[in-house]
Amino acid sequence: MKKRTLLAVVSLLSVAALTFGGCMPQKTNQATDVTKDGKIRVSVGNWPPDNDTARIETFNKYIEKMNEKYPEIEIVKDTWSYDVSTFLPKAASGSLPIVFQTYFTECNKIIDAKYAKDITKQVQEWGYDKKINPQLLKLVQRDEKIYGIPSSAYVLGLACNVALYKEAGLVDSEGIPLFPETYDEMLQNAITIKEKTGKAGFFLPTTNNMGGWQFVAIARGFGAEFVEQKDGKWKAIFNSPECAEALQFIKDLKWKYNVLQDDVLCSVDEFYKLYGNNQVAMGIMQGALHSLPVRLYNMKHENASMTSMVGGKAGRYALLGGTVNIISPNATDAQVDGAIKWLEITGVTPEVTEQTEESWKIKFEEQKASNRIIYDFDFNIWDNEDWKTRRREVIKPYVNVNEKLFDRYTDYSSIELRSEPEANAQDLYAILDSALQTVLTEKDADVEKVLAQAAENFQKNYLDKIN
Amino acid sequence: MLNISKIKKAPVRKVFNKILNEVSMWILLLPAVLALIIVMWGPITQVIGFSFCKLQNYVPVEWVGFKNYKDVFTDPLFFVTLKNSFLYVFWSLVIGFIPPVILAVMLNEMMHFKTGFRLLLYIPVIAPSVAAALIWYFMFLPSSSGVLNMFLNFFGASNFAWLQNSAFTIPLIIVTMTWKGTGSSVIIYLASLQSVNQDLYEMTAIEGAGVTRRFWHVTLPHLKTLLLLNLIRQIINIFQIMQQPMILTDGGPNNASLSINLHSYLLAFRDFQPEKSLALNVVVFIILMIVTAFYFIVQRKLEND
Repeated sequence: MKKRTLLAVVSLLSVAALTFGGCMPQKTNQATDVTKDGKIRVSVGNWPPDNDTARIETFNKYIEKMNEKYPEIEIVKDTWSYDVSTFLPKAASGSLPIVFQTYFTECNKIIDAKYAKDITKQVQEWGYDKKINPQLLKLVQRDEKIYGIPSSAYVLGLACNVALYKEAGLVDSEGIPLFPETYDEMLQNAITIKEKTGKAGFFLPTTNNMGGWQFVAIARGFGAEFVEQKDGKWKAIFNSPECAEALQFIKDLKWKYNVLQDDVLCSVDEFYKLYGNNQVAMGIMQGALHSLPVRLYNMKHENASMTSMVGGKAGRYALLGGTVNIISPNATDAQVDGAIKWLEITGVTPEVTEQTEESWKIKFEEQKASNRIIYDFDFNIWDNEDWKTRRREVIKPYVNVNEKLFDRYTDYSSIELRSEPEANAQDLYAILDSALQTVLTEKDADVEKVLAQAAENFQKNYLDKIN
Repeated sequence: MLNISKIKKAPVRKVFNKILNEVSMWILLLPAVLALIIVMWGPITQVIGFSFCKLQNYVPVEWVGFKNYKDVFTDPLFFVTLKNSFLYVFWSLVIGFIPPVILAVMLNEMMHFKTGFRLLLYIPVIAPSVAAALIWYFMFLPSSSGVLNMFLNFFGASNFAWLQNSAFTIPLIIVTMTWKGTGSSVIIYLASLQSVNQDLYEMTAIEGAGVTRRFWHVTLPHLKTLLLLNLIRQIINIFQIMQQPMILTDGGPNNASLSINLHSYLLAFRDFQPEKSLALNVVVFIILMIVTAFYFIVQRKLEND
């Protein structure tokens, strides 16, 4: 008995020591911010892996330029790139690179979890706060503080597979697809393509919050809104006839017209596969991501095309997205400054100098060598028209697609750009994913009931907690 | 004359000698005890402690009492995933518990090709879990390119939705797990069956007992403890299922296959709510502790019987 008692006491003490040890504030990598020879060490995430020689070459060129212009900074390579499953352990252990890229859609939760450094002071010193496109600046701001610098932005559009459009006879005399303007036209095209080719007309993801994200863009075209703030309190307002009409439209794509992909429980990655292999005609995506079906599934450049988001009775709405640079919360002020200098060298700067143009050229050369689609897909991240004009001039000799296949996508005159719903966007997308799964797997699902349940769930479990 | 100092020193020396004698035992025990503390008890107590706190960078910054538990119990997905996890257990017992016993008995009775069958049964066990799940993913594809639908099409039937039909999702996931796990259970049962005293079989055969009676009166009593152990192990393992629904359905359709552990994983890593995830894990821990306690009670009863 005594032995047992002693063993128990020893064990308990050890457990307690471990537990309290775990509660102690963890040491960060602050101590390694300066090298032995006094240089400021800046680790950079998203570094290409060893087998990606084209990108490695590009990054090495950036390092050369960095050493010339800012010799006081030492760039440390970090191949880690943002990934939902690895971010939290990396952040919690204090080992995030000083600067890393993520998506605008992830920004809010990273800022809420306090894994992004407040860089307002440095951004103001560089004058970027007045030069970043205000719509994008809002996405990286919280309580007037700035937590990121956008590096690229895009608008969601409708990708159309030219091979299937041709096979279905939906092209003009020049072989350009007869792009739909409305959801009705999109449906008609999808029906024709299904009839003539036997391939799916439209793709909709339903997992990893991607379905919810795309549904928000679609439903806004039908006049639906998702959240509103009244007297300082958030309210879920998507249990509405407009949203029900949008969800019914999606349900009909599956059960009435049978034009969706067969596997309706899949992520957007499946779209790149089907689209790249000419198995689906249309899907919502951002233009720059055309590099994925080309790289992964050898999609021919001439089979890719894009138009802007189509419209419903309430108009044409597109969501803004893109990538943003976040600075690790452990970075010192000097490291934040070093990170902004690195971004400047890579072309993320509102000032178009010879050096900026040189950085762009390095990137386009790399894309050319990797046989990627080169076209100016990006939405201007800077509030500076000259930047866009100069960039178009630089990219022109590199463009390797028929511009008529993409120019409607980059013409933003007929669409209204909207950002994500203002409160708990990711949670909303997850709930909408489930709603989409229900109507796409249950033929008799009652759209209004599904929406009512989703709205109640979102209100009770998310909005009421922040009200 | 009575030596008082000797009387007083005797018990002290006795204790000292006892400790000296047991030093080797303590040294031998130390690595195992340390390992248990570092990799099991430490993290478990840490998780319990942290589940009552608000975390910042995984460091507790505020004591919030039962708030995280309240969040867990008011989350409608908690009861959905709890029900799903019990459904996984139920279907695993219906589909996966009996076949290994039957296969082991059959193998034990076999005269020829015993090794070959054993090998065939064991092959799925060595397939990596993710690869196995992907094989089944392609089997269950709802399009005409899905292997099972190819069979249906061959016989003139139309495509079936398989995993996308919420009524079938959990049983089908269990089928994939049974396919993978049966081999190892069969080997364990077979090892036990081979230790059955053959005289008992001969005796019952002389007394005219057929295969069924021999199974009920000799084989089953012999396997009783092992069956109970496997039953509890299966309940504990299946209750914590995560990998398979994650790969095959991502918890869908409409959370029909979302298990409690997958929900916990998504809370921690996708939604950045580690506190809620930890509280949920403590609830799972308590449920499994109750199952384990029940196992020990039944085991003791069986041993006494």
